[in-house]
Amino acid sequence: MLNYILRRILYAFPILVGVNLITFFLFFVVNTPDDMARMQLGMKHVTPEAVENWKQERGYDRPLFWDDTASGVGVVSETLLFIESTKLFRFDFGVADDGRDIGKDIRERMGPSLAIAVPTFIIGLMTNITFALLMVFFRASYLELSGVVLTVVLMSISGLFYIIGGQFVVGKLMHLVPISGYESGLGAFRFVVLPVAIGVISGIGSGVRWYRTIFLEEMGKDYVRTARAKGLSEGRVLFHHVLRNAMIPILTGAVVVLPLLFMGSLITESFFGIPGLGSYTIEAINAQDFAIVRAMVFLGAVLYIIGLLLTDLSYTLVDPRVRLS
Amino acid sequence: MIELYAAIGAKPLFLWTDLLIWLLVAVIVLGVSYTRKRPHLLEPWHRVARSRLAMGSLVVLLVYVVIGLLDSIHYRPALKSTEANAEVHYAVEARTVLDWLVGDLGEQSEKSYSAPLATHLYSRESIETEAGTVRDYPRLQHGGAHLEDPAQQRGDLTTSLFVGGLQGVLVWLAIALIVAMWLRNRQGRSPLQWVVSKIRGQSDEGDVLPWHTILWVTCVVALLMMMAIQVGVKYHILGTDKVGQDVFYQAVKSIRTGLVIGTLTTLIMLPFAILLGIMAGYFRGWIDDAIQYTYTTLNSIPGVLLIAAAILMIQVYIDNNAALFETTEERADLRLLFLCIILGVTSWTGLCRLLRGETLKLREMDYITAAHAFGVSHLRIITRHILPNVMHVVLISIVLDFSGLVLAEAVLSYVGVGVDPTMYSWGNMINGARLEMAREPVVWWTLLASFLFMFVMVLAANLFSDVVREAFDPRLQSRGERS
Amino acid sequence: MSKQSEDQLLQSDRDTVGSPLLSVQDLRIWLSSRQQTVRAVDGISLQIERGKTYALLGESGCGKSMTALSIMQLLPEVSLKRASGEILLEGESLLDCPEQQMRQVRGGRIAMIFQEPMTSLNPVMTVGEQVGEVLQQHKNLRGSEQRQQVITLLEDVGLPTPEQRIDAYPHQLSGGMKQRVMIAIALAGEPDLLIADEPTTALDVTIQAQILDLLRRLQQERGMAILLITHDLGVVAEMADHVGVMYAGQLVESASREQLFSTPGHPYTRRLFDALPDRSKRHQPLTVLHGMVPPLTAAFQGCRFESRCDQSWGLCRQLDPNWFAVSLGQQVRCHQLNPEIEPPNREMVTPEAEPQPLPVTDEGAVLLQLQGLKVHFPIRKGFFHRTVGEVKAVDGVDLSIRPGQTVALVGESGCGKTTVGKSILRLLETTAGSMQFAEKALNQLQGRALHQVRSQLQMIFQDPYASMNPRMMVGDIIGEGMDALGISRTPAEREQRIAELLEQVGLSPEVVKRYPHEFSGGQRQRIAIARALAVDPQLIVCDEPTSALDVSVQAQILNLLRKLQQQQNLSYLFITHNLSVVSWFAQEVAVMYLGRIVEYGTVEEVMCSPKHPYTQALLSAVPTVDTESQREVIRLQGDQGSPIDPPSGCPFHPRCPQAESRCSQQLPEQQWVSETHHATCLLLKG
Repeated sequence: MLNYILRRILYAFPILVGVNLITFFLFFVVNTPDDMARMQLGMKHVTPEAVENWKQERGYDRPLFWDDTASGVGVVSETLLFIESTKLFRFDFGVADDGRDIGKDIRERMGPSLAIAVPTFIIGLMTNITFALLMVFFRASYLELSGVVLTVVLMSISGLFYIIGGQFVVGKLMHLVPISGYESGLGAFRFVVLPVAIGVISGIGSGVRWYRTIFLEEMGKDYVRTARAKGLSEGRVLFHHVLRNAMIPILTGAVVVLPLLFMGSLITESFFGIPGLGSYTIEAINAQDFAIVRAMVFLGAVLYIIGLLLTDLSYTLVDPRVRLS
Repeated sequence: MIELYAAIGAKPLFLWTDLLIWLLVAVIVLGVSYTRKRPHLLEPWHRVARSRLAMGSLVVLLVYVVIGLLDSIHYRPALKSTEANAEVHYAVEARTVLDWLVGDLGEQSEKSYSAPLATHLYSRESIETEAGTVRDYPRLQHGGAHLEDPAQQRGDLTTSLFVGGLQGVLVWLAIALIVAMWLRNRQGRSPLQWVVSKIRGQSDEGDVLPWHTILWVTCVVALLMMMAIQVGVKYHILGTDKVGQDVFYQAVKSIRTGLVIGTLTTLIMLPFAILLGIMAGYFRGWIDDAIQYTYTTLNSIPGVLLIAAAILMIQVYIDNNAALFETTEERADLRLLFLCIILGVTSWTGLCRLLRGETLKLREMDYITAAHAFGVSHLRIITRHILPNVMHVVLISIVLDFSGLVLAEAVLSYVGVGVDPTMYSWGNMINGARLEMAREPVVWWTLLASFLFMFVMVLAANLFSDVVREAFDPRLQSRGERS
Repeated sequence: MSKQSEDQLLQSDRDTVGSPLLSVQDLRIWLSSRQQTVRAVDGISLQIERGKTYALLGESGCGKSMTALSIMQLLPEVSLKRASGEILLEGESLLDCPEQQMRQVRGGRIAMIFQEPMTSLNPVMTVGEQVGEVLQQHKNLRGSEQRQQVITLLEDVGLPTPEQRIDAYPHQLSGGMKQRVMIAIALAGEPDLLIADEPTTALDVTIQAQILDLLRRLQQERGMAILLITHDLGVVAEMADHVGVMYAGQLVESASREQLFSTPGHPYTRRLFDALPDRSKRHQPLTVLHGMVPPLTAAFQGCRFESRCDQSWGLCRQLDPNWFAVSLGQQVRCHQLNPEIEPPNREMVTPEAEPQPLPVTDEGAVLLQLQGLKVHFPIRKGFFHRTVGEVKAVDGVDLSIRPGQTVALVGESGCGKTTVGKSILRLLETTAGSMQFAEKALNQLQGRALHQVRSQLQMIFQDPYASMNPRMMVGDIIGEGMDALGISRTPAEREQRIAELLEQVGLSPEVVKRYPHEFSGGQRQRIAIARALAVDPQLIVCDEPTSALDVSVQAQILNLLRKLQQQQNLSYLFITHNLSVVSWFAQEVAVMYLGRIVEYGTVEEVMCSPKHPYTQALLSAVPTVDTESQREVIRLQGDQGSPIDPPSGCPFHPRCPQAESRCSQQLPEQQWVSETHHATCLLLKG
């Protein structure tokens, strides 16, 4: 088991290298440090000296891939690519344009992100599975038909409208909860309720449909017929046989996004003014702060790969047919 | 050529997305004519055609598509020059055939906000009157300007709606009769009798299409459209925005952006997904490893961030090379195209993985083995045996992706990495309007307009794609019809 | 009159044997979808007595499974279904039984086992849970009591080491063991009636013999009635007390086993018997049923078998025949047996089959010679594809085929016979050994030379549905090989040749523009044969070409293959598990076990005096139609080993009833019994 995990972590390495190469290409080759400097310093009135200064401050004045002036390994290791990459792999994200430490910011902002994302995820999963099971249980009835119609309608509404509508109705008209903002500790609750509720509702449409498809596919399998032939009730067939099989794709599909919950939700956080990683990312994009964006890309990739690893591991837990080797 | 342009007073403007859109239309037309002759390809489409839900939503989608296509022929009108015989200059702002058809709806700007169908502005302003300066709601320059007294508005609206409704019925009847005349299977009835029987819900032996539904949906759509035109020339149906531009016009113009994002993205990523997916599944070995590595790597980068990074880069490029673009449309268009490309890059992996899986299954099929036994080349096996047998996966994925992409545009534009801010799009409309929800009193109509237009299109697309998936997915079929 | 006579006959049945356990009266099931209505079952009446086995015999798509499912009230959920008639379990109607009550019946009074043990068990539940569930439902047993009972049941169905297997998951069991678990599930509720829907069709012969034995034993012990659904006359002969023959949604004959096998009454039943290949018919073509079962979507007029019956006359087309008694207990639905009507040709003669000489083989030349052929597949794992083991699919095979000869390769699934076939066609890379084909070293050919030889070697596959690209027209499917190998000349010649080929395989040349889905399994197999013939091969590898087909269609295809062999001096490597086909079709037989050939000889030698214990067991396990002979079945224990880790010494020793201690240590060598017959067994040494 441990051996397997270790090996998987080793396999993850080339993928991270690839991610790093892509981001490096985007942030340093397509958009050169000179461009970055000019943009940061303002397009007009930029002297070449100021640009050089800016680059030197950040260590961006090195050659990109190959340093002719260095000797030995230095040819490679004294380059921007090598230095910037090794920094990332040490999770040393450097400083943002406003001089703040990115690593520290990320650690601080993780909490609020998780406070929104984790409840949304768990409640959402349970809600979706419940509704999907109900629809399958009442299949071929008008109840199911209206459920199908409702999910298609819910699915056709942009996530932005759920948020705007929710804020308007619950926050502005009913004054139940604050429209936006955040507070640490227990006080967070009243700020978290609305975003979580909206997150769950906006996910119902596609979620329920997806799970319903999985359930229906399982319902058509031969073992269900066997279970019915045993004289089991429809409820027992559904919960004891179908659900246990359907949980395999559902759980493993859920596990892959689990680590990504750390990244927070871009839209929700920015609408509700939650100081999490999602709004951090949006702010960085709007401020064109490439150091932060690059750090978030790398972090996202690491979390995704952890998600893949967890998926494989979760298979062995829920599916007796899969054994790790 | 130049003389010709001068004579008609307009110079065509070929935008990249326009060309691609019309290319797509051509591909679809070719595909339809190819499919028509092959009964086994036609069969799943017959299942789609029989579905009332699918045909109803198709009518709605077609209206969107026609508007989008009309909006995809750009030209630059000639500027009226003061001197005779001077060289003709063309406007920097391009127009489309749609603009030409709706007349000057786009140019009828007010000063600022006005509510739907209003005759006055939404906020008080200082007005110079004979009695001196008063603060009041000033009359609009266009909306309801023909009325001498705003109190006549109600009656005027009723008349317009009635006239519009009447026109709608006439237009619909004309369409229905044309369809009826073109049909062969009328069971010996006259076109009019046929239309009446269908409206009553009779269906004939041999009818494939659910004519009852199609005619009713068309009727509703025609009524709504003609009413909107009647009212729209006199009022701002959905009000005006901050700078006084007609919101209804904006929402209609946004249709093209939504369609382009929804279709071109898939079109652009399709070749990569198909080629790489099939190659990975067919050749296995190191090719498979390399392709899997590529898509795992791309997948592991958070999509929004990759899009953000790429869009920021292209914006830097556009800003640095402003001289390359003669018109604002060209600039916005490049960004739109690039958005499609980058969206395609982030979304091809799903289809690629599906195709790889499907090919892995297919390559073990006996007919592939038989082809190997004949020494058929790899290329031929891929094109003759594998590609036709994975097309249903491709088709399902195209229709399923469409609505997701339209919704994604809104989110991306909100984040600031979507389409160009000068471009009409629902995302930009929402982005511009969301802060107005905090105003007192609330300015709600821009949001409502974008919501309505987007919702109807996405809903129709979702309903349609559901039926298409059911008709093409072999797994779903066996479920219903197993005996 | 019809109803009356029917009732009378049924009445007489009842009088003789007392009240039946299950009685089905005029059952009709119509399934409707938006496009069509399928009359899956169309008026079935039958009675099953306690402790007896009723076999429902019929070809695929005739409605047997539907009948079974409707007894269980487990019909598929389709938009519209209509059932009429009566199903009575001890006088209690099941058709209008409320679902709540029906659950007591299912599993409790009637249990069912299905064809596919692989998919019929829940993959994520342990064997114990799945059996225990029934005990909980019907016997209200829980906890350790339940566990004890499950172990007893598993022991009863002959699952080895039930104490351990109770916690196993289905994927850890072999096919035979899974079917035993299915039977244990069925027995748990101590049902009065067991419905077995093709219980052994997916299993190998030796495993089939085990399962049939088990069912017989359990029936005797528990006095349970069995409704056996099968297409296999051999299984019927082994198991049934009473037989109902189904055709196109109807019963056409009802008789006791003895009556059916001694004097089959209905022309359809008779044709089924005639179509069975066996050694006694070796020198004549098999009698065939032309055409196929009519689709059940349309309403019928007249007798359903009329279009395929060679003794039909005008009346058959107009009037649906009633039941007529042939003798006490045997009834047939055929106008020929109506005592009041004189059919124009009362004489029921089987058309005299023309004697057909066996193909002459050229004794001298050898077309294909395999020596020490080994095909091992590496098992790769992980990111860097390290080889961690090998599947020894073929582990030393010697074989030779002469022009115009048929060599049969026989063995259970997983023994490597298909791998041999595919490596001959160079579809798989060989690991070791040599292949000589027409004086060329086949396994060393590359590039152009290989491309040229491809036309000489062709293959016909098992599954006629998977072997044709559904997106290609028949003409293109047949022409593909000619195009790829550059055989076709001008387009006109190509067209001409395709038309010829279609005629040769008995299809109309007009079908070139049609797509495979429009054809039945048998017709597709004809197209597949035409495709192989298109490149003028000398050797065709036939990989179970008839095992997916019904008996009547199988006969058509076998006749066709033999006719083509005579016309074109073709050689066949005939891969099959069906020994009766072998004895009709082949000249030489090679028996394979776990990658090796254990016995080789002419058909007479291998079939009549098998020397290897495995061959002997295999032959004895085949259920035969011949009910007279009291053959003794040699029971093989367990399953074939794994080619990844084959047993030491003789690979067959763990299952061999005669194994000695040396068998597990020494690898046996070929022992020649006669000039043409050898077996690989240590015991033959003396």
